Amino acid sequence: MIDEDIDQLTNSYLSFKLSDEFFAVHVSKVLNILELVPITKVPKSSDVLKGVINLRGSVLGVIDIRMKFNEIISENTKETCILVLEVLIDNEMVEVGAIVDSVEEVIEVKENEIQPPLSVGTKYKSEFITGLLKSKDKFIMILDMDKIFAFDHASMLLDDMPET
Amino acid sequence: MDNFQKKFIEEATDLINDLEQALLSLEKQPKDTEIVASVFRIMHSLKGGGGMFGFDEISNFTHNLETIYDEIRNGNLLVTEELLSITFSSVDHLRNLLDPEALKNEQISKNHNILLSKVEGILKKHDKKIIETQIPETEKEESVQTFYIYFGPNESIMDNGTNPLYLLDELNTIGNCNVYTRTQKIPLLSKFNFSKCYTSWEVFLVTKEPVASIQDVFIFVEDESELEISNIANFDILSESEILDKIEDLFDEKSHFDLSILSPFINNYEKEKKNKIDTVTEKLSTFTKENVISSIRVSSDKIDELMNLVSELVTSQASLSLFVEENKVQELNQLAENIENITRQLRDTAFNISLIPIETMLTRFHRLIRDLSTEFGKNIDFITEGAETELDKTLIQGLTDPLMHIIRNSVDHGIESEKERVKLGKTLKGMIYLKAYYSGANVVIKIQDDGKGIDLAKVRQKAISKELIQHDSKLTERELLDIIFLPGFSTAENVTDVSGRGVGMDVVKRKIEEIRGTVELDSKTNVGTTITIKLPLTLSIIDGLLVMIGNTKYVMPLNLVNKIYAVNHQDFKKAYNNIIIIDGEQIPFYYLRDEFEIDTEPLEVEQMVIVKYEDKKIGLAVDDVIGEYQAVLKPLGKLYKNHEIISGATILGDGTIALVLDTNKIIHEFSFKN
Amino acid sequence: MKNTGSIRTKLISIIGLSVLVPIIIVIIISSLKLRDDAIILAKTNAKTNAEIYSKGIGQDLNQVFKALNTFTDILSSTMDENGVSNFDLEQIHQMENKFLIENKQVLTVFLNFLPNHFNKIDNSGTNETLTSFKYINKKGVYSYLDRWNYNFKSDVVSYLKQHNGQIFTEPYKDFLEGDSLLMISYGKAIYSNNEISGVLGVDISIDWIQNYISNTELFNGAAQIFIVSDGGIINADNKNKANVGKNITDIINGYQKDDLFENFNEIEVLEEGDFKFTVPVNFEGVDKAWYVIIKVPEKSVLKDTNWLLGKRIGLVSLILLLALSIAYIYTNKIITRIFKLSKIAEKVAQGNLDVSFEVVGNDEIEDLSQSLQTMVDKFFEIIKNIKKTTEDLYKSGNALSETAIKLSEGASEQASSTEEVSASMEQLNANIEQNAENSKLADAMAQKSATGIEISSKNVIATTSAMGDIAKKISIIGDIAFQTNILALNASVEAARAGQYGKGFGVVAKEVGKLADNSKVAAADINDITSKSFISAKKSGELLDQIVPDIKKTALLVQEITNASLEQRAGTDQINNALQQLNNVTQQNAASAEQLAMNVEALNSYADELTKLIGFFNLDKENNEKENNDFAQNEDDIDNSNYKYKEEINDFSDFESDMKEIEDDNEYDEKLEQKENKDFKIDFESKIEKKISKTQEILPKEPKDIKRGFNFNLGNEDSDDEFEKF
Repeated sequence: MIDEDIDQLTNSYLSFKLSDEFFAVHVSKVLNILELVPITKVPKSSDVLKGVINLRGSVLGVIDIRMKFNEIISENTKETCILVLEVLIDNEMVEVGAIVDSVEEVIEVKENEIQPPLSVGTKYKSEFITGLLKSKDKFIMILDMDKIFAFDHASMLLDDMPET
Repeated sequence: MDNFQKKFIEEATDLINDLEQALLSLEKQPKDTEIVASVFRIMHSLKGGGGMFGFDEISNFTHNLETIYDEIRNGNLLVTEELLSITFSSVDHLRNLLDPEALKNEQISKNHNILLSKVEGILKKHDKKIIETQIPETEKEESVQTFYIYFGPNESIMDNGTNPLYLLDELNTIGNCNVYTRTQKIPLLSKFNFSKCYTSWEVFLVTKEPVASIQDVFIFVEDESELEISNIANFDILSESEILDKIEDLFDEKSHFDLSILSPFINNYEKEKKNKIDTVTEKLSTFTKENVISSIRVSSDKIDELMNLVSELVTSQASLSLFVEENKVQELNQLAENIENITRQLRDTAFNISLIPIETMLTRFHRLIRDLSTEFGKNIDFITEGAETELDKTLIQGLTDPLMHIIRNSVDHGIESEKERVKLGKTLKGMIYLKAYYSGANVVIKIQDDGKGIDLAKVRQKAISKELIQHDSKLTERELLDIIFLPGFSTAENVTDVSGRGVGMDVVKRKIEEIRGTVELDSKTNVGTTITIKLPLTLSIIDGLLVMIGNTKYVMPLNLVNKIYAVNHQDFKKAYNNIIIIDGEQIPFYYLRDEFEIDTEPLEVEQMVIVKYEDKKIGLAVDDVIGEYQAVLKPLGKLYKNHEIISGATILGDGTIALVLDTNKIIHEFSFKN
Repeated sequence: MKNTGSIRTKLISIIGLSVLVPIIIVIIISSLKLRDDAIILAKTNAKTNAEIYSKGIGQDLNQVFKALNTFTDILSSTMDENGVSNFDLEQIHQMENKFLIENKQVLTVFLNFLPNHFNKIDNSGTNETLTSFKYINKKGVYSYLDRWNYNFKSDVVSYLKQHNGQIFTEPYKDFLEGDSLLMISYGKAIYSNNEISGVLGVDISIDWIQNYISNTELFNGAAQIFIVSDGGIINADNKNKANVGKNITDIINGYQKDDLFENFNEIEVLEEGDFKFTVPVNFEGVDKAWYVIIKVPEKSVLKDTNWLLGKRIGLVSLILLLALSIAYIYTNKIITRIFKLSKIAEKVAQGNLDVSFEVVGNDEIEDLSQSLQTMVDKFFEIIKNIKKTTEDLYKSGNALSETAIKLSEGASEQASSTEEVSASMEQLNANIEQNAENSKLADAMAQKSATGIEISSKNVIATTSAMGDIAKKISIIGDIAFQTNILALNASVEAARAGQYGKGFGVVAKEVGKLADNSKVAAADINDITSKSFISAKKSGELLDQIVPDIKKTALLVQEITNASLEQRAGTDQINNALQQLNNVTQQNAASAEQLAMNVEALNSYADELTKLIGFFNLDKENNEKENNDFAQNEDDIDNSNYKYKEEINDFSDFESDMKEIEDDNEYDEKLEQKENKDFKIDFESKIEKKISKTQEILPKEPKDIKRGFNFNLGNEDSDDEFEKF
């Protein structure tokens, strides 16, 4: 019974959209989903760091995850959301906000439904993608947020040589 | 670990701290039976508690120590250096033992055994020692007297071949002397007769010898000199820094010491000292009973939470005030004002709760200095003042390490060895003086030593060899002293255990700056070094000036703001070399709008906030000044950890965020950039 | 005319005085100063020169005297008490020779001892009185001479004793080696044992003093310089060499010898304004002194000054003459032109208005002549017009009487036709009334429809805005749905994080999410529909908006028609009134016409009278030209006389008489003019005034309806204009 619990937990993902592509992150990393609120820009910081917002009385740093993927930044719409994530930076759990184009749903997947990431043919660095899953005709990439955030903010997560 | 065990650990930590303090007192007054009694009682409590909550090792370890101090209490054993050393080590070890798993650690377990055997060794030896040591010690101590001697020789004393200095030397052989030379009778050089003696002397002599032997010294010159010998105390005043200070204060170039002032002071001092020891002992003895009544123990987490909630409340209250101001509801207005008052009081109270006296960390330094003095063979007095000064808990935590560093430096580099001190004509004992006091919204902590000071030439040499400065660069004394704070700088020639790894003062500076403090260093060769640390009273709330740049609001620390001027935008644009003349004063400024790369349209009239930066005035141009604001400081978070110009954020009444500017960092960064 | 001369005199004397007086004052002051300065300078000059001579002569002679004194002292010192010298004769001779050679002024040296003195040898030729001398001259020749006998009436020894052992002679002329020379002798006694033992002396030529001063030219040689000895004998005289050797008292009249011993170094003014200056020449060791006297005649001192003063006065007179000439020429020019003007003015006074004041120049006279010209031109113009008007008045008087008769006939005809017009107007008025009533009705209807359409348009707008509100509300529903969805997602995440325990909750969250999705879709549908109806409503609104202006336009037109009809009616009413008035007026006209005829008669008789009066003024061009020529001739005469005046400035009286003639003429003309002018003025003004007042009595009775086409021209429009001009 307990084992099953853990299974359930480990296998729930929150899917979201960046541009036209679908990504997912493990629910354990997600603390909250927020509507897009005005973000206070911190001067002299990189563009990826969007600024800070007031999250129930504490200050939350927000990054534009779309920029990390060097996507063409789509206009902010009503659908645009901020995911409040809990990630490991320098061995410390830190809350950060990440802007996504839209949040889709929470999906439960069985272990065997997750396919290993393709090492070739994707435009993203494979080290940030822990797996692939297919849900309702869509391909969803599961992201490793810890690694993404451990990465230097300014650099992009694109694979330098996608066609090898 | 269950709750009871937790409780015991908390209690035991306090007990161990008390024990350490009592031991330090004991070291100064080894024969004070009250202190011995309190040491014994603490040990007894520890032993009992340990046994009760399953900390058997503590119980066993304390048992032997308790036995020793029981013997001392009963007069069967004497307090010795060796014994105290062992006891101090044991105290450290007891702290380790609070961790039930501690003995699994090989090092600790080894130490445990060594200490156990040492304690047992003392117990075995003690029978023989009783007779040998006890009697002479008492005799010796009791016979010490302090004399005041005034020796004013006749002008023609040297005619018959007498050298008055020899007389003084002779006095020095009798006991410990402090000599004050009176030179006011020395005439102008034109009238000076080299064969005459114009000098007189005043001497404070601590000796076991009777008055007669002092008189013997002057037997040949008695008739042709003024001589006054009087007993002013029955103890050694020269080892009491307060009395020495008083003597220094009374010292007057022109006239003799006024014994009518000094004597009562010494008498009072003697009484007070006795009382003090009494109270300390009393405090220690009543510790368990009274503490429960006057204060309660609250976990720091709870206080943190309280602080957070109060901060939230302050923020919410700000939004309430904002709302009332916008909607102008009369009844609500009254209410809002009430709430504002209460919030303010609540906030102050809450902050007071989180303040603790710096005394709490001083014990550690007493220990440190004691240990290090022994290690380096130096004789050092550690004098503290203003130990009751209170500081935010987090500040105290942040302050301990840097202070430790500073004190270590003083012991290692500052205070000279006894030999050197004698050579330099200083007192045998070195002195480290720590003083804390409030200064406005700040707390200042001063650490002063009377050591050799910092050799600027050496600093310079070192800085050049480390390529921190050019070999031909001209630096002021202050700039040279500032080099000491640069990373990778250490002047120690030999790398010792304590210092000299080059991670000294830069770490100190960084750590103090982390808690929004400043540090300053002053030094005079052969006089000593003074380090001044300035800290805000609390970390989490600052009085700020709310300003607007672009669409974002910023808060500047109000205590750094000097003045605000309205300036036309055109004047900023016209200003040559970023210098603007205000009130006839040339003021360099930074146009924050440009520095922050804000591209919205600027206002026609902008505001110039003049801030203090070191001892200069620097202008920071902003769009608009909104007003004063009490900002509850919140960290920006890990994402912005390298972002130094913003020291935090605060949430305004309308829920938006204002960024708190660290003006010092901004100016430093921009001036570096430019 | 009479006063012309006085202006000229006044002007010239003012100018003359203003130039003359300051200049004369300046000359007097400067000449006085010049004289004083010159005399002071001359005195200083004389004094300086005298001192220079005194010093020069003194120096030269002193040199010799000093040498001799020394020589004598030497000799005296070698004598013992018996009067025997240590020197031998040879040594003495050598010293004598040396002395002669070293002092060029010295002609001879004489050294004589009493007999038995000196070495008691070579005392030949001497005697006890030393009157016989042995000389040695420059050639080294010794000779003996007894010449001092006539110079010293007593013997030399007693002379020496009397004169302190010293010989200092007055200048005397003597022949020496063939030359006649002016010289003095100077000697000193040689003592032994305080007794005179001998004498040593020299003869010194002083001719050089004469040369010394005669070369000097003081005050162009006018100054007289004397060097006078103690006894008053003239040593030198720069003017007359012949005076040398004479006594000064003989040369300067009234000059006493004793005066020499007074007033040294002081300017002494002599008779005739001359002055003299005396400076002593002192010799060292000699009791007597000489004197340098400089006598300066005042005339010579002031010679330069006087010449300079004369030059100045000459120059000033010249300037004065020039200034007066210029002043006269300019004054004359001005006077002439004023005269011209007055001549012309005289003509005007005689009634000749066709004159020309062509006086050229660029000053106020030009302005005056122009103003006069303008005035006369104006007069001319006015009189001309009055003349013409009178004629016209006369003519139109006749025409007027004819017209008046026609007028009364026309008036009755007019009355009958007015009657007819009035009847047809009544008819027209009734028609227009009907018209106005109809258009008023149409206007009201148009207004009503416009308002209606406007209301519907407003309704449509309200509809569209309501639809906009609906859309907004729907979007809020969309927002709520979105927020609900996020809430649901948050719930799902929480549920997922809670694991098994959250599973049930997760399902609910999902359902909520689905509901939110559904409401989102529904909201989107409503939004769709709303926006569609929004569009159509908006369209109909636009259509209505288009119609409204058209209708408004129609209503406006109808209203305009109504207004026009109303205006029309007002117009016909006015015409009716006018006709009524017309009728009245016509009747009055007939009556007035008769009155008019009578008045015309009276008018004619006034015109006759006026013509006669105006006849006084001569407006005939030909006549005027003739007169102008006469005047020009007159002018030429004046010019000629002016020219003469210029040529012969001294012949002033001639000119003045000319001027008097002209003045008399002018005077007469002026009087005549004044008289006639006055008479005419009174007559003319009173008459004209009467005429005007009468005419004015007639004129206001003219009917105002002339403008409506009644030909009622009285032919007086011209005169009207003239009156206005007046």
